[in-house]
Amino acid sequence: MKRLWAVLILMVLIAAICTAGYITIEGYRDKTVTTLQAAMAAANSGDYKKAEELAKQAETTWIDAEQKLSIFVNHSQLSEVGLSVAKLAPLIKDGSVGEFNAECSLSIVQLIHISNREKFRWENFI
Amino acid sequence: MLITLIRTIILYVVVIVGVRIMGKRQVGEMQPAELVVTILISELAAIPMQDLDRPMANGVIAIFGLVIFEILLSIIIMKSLKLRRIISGKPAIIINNGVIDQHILKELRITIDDLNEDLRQAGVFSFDEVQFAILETNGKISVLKKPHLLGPTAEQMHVENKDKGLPCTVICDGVIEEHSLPLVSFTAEKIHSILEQNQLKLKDVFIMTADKLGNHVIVKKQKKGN
Repeated sequence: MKRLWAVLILMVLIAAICTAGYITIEGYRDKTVTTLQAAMAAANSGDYKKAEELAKQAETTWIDAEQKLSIFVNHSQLSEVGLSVAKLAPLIKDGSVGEFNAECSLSIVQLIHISNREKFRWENFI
Repeated sequence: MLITLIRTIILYVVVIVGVRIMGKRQVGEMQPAELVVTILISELAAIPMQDLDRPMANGVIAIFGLVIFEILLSIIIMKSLKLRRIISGKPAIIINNGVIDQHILKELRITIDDLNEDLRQAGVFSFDEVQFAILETNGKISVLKKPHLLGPTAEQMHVENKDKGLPCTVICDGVIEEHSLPLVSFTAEKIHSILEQNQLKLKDVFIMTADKLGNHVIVKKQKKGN
């Protein structure tokens, strides 16, 4: 009976960790992708100052995210996004809009990739 | 490096907890499913120990997941004989009424050397001593000797066998095992008086066992250089 209780507690713990991981990943993905999309829009409309601010904001968000997501996601995947996001502010400061957009798109794709890997999908099971 | 060490300690604790939750049976006599789980757990623990890139939660969740499945499966197996047969298999009679079943040996891929070895471990050194040999689902062989080779029991000989109870260790490495004393109706004073009779001090005793009837065995500590 004690063993069954232990199993029940473990099941609840595992379910809680998995759910927390999923929600955290989704939350940070949405937040960072929205910021990056806004930064791209600002850069494309010529508002480089706003784009730089948003790029810095995305970087700050990601630094916070990296700490929390490292519990659930492979650290190298997080570092890749981190490196990509860190390039954004210097790029827009130099006025390299094309490279800025490319780097933003890369970060967004990496983030979507991280989140997709945790989704309840057939592709992830096989 | 320090992170590896800390992760190793944490995963070590996780594996110990997991194996303890699965139960003692896991260690001694493993069924096929339990063996699979044990191998998988050791692999799962090794990966996050070495690969710092991987979150430890991945390993911990997988280990505890296996523990849960193993316990749930063992509960289901207890209730369903059919499933028990599928997962654990069934015992096979290798020697039936003194005759080795060669077809079964072939089917189970057991060589005559393997059988010989297992019989020797069971205290039998010749095939013709065996009435029945059964290969259990945990891979061990149970042997029943031929009736004329079995010793008579006390009951058959109408001899009264006194119940000695469970012999317990009362002194271990010079220290009295207080919790064992009530089991053999001994007291610390009684132990000291026995030691005195044998001209021994507590610190000179390596091990002392006793039973309910008051029988005791003392093994002295070996002196350095002996």
